[in-house]
Amino acid sequence: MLRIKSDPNVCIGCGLCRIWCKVEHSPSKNISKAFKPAAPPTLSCVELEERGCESFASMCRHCEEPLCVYGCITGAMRKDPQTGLVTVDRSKCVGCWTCILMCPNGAIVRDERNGYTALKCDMCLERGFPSCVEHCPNDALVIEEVEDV
Amino acid sequence: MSSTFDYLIVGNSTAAIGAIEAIRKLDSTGTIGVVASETEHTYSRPLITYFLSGKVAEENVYYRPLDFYDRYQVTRLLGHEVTSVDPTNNSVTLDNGEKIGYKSLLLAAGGAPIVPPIPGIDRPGVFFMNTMDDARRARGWLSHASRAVVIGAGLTGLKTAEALREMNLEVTVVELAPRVLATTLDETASEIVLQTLVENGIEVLTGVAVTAIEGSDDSNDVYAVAIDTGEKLVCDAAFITVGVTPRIGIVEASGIAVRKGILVDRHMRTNIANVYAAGDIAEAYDPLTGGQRVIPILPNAYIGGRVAGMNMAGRAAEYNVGMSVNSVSFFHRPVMTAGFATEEGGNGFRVFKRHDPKGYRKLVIRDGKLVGLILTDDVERAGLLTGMMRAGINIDGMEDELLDGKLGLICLPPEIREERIHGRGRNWL
Repeated sequence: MLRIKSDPNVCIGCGLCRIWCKVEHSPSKNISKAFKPAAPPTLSCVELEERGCESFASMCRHCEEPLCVYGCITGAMRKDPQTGLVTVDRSKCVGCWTCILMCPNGAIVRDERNGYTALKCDMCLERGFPSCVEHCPNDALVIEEVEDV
Repeated sequence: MSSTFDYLIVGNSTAAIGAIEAIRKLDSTGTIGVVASETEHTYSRPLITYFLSGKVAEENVYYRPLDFYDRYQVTRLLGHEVTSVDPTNNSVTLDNGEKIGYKSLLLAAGGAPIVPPIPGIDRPGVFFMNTMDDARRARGWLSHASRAVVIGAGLTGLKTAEALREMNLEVTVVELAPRVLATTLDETASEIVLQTLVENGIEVLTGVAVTAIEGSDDSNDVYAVAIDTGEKLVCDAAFITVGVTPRIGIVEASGIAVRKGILVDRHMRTNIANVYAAGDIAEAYDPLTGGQRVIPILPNAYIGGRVAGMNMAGRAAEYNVGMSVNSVSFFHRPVMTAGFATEEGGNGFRVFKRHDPKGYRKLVIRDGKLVGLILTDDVERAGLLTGMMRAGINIDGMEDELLDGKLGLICLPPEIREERIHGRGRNWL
């Protein structure tokens, strides 16, 4: 199974991962439209962690024992048995934010743009390839193959 | 014995589903039977107040897709109460006299609503909010109601009040304790929730006892809730939401050890080797107190059920993360708690608080470790904090960063940080 690997040793803290994540979650999915003054606000599910001269990107690890899935009160959050990806069925989510309280990585955000639902990294399932990885200029984000037990 | 299952589960809610999903990951052929008193497809109990208001449709109250039992090859025996458990003969007896055998048994029958001794509690128009059917019957009744009284200001009571308000009813909440959510929140957070309710048009009366639920001269239906100030709160419906209690009656005289709930060890096993318990019926390990406690919350029901299921199917798993956590929103204002949230310092606890327009944040620390929290409004990345609680990280010197909400994985000790960003999140169970 494929996962995103974040390498603190080569991250330069440019924040392009967040920019492209926001583009992906904007209505237009177009970088020249997503940040226009009149564009609706958009969200990133990648965090850029910085302290001193250290930095790295963090996002959902699609845990093997996903506490967000176990805590979800609706069944909206699920782990796909085939791909191992943890995704939210936004039509079922009621915005109780239990997943946010459960996730030890702080990888789930509140999306209050259209109702109240959780938003998290789905590795750009619809797009086909994670946009943050594709646009990382320094290969601080790469795709790795892992085994889900 | 009419039938015997490799795995028999009493209950069809969160803990049961957690167990079934764990068992099927390890054992694709063993037979699984589920016995439950309710006939519904498995549903989310916290969603019934959303169902009451119509905010969530019936198909979205279901906790798993409709083909769940087929896909997981589960035999359902629904609409039956378990009247007794016989560990000597590895069987349970149903209310129709039928005996069902098992190789291993999970007791996950949950909690029953506490019925306070109020005269008139059985009048038409008085409802509990514990089952889908409670919500369904209340919905029908409320179609010609305009005023409701909610008795009990716990989580279920307040979510019920919110739902009723969203249905445009006039709502009064009555609570015996001096404040709302008294066992979950401290005074400051309780006041924040109270203000939110009041701003949204809910009347809240605290420190008052209900003396009777009265009918009118010409009808037996609920007409008013009488309280100990002498007032009568006129209403067309009343809701009783004063808590739940583990359904330990099902193991009476079985030799299975109980205190408040069914006592289980770190493997969710009772004092009988092939009998397990999980969810609201169980009294299980609390990593913060080090003892056993009944913590009736959905995340713990799922995790406890999962740990039980793994052990039942032969893979050793431990229940180590079952601390108390609550996340709830009232009129879209988020409120979260974990662990020793109501502590105010002393008894070895140190407390740090910040209350400003961004919200209320409270951290409770013991022996250098975070052991409790309350967050309102700004709840971003709250799981970083519960993650630190679960991992028992020493946070000496990090209090200000934590209080400012500026914490990131980057602040964690190197080995924990490495596990969070490169690990596979498999070491919780």
